Amino acid sequence: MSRFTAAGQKVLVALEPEEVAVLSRLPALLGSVGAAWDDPAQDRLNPEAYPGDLIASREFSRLTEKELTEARSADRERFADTLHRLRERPVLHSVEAAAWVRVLGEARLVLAARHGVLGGGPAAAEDDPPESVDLVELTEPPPETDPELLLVDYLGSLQDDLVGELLTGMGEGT
Amino acid sequence: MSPASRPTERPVAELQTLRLPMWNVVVWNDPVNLMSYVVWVFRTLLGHSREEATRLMLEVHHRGRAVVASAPREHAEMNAYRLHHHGLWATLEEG
Repeated sequence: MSRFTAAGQKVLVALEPEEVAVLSRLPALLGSVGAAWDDPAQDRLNPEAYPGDLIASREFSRLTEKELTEARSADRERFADTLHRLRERPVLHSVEAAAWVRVLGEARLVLAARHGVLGGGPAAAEDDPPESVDLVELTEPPPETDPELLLVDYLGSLQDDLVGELLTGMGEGT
Repeated sequence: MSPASRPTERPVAELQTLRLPMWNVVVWNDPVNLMSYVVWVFRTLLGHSREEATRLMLEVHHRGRAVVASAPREHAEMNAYRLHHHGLWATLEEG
């Protein structure tokens, strides 16, 4: 059975208890971003809006930081609440499903950044052909042997399934 | 046209010459975000069609970046903020 199934404006969820246990770790993971001053995930989640213009970038951050923090916190809370009640009500409404998609993606970015997968962005476009930026190529040891990077792959498969169902709900197949 | 209506014509003409400068919202390639997710973000956040969202995603993937929206600065900054909320590497540049 598929883990996510679109049903009108809702998505039916069928996750194993072990999967729910893994996902229940994500809010705390995301809540830890920025706790350490040198957390690479902080920069990845908050890229400079104006590359090469520090003043404009800082002003953009000043204007958006509070709202962005609150929006991410709301996503985490919505994710945790819906995950907690999955056994009784295994359904996500569209707003909840969107929060799930963002939380899964954000968790992947955080885990990858903390494992040195930091390619991409303007600097990478200047330095390397974009085709050379690849998760598998950039990780050492290979991702199959690293539990945290295996988690990145697993969360990616969940996100891909859920996005596919949401696109189906928009009237298009994947 | 009556003389009384003429004053309303000037501001319109002046507004046309005072168009706000446009700013491009650029999304950059990264090694983590999934192609399907990026298409979904372009569809739901920016209102692109399935075909346009897919074209832009492939441009990001193959060329390293793509201009996904153009708007006056305040609107462009709002789009960049929303893309950051979705984990995409978005920047702004004057169009």
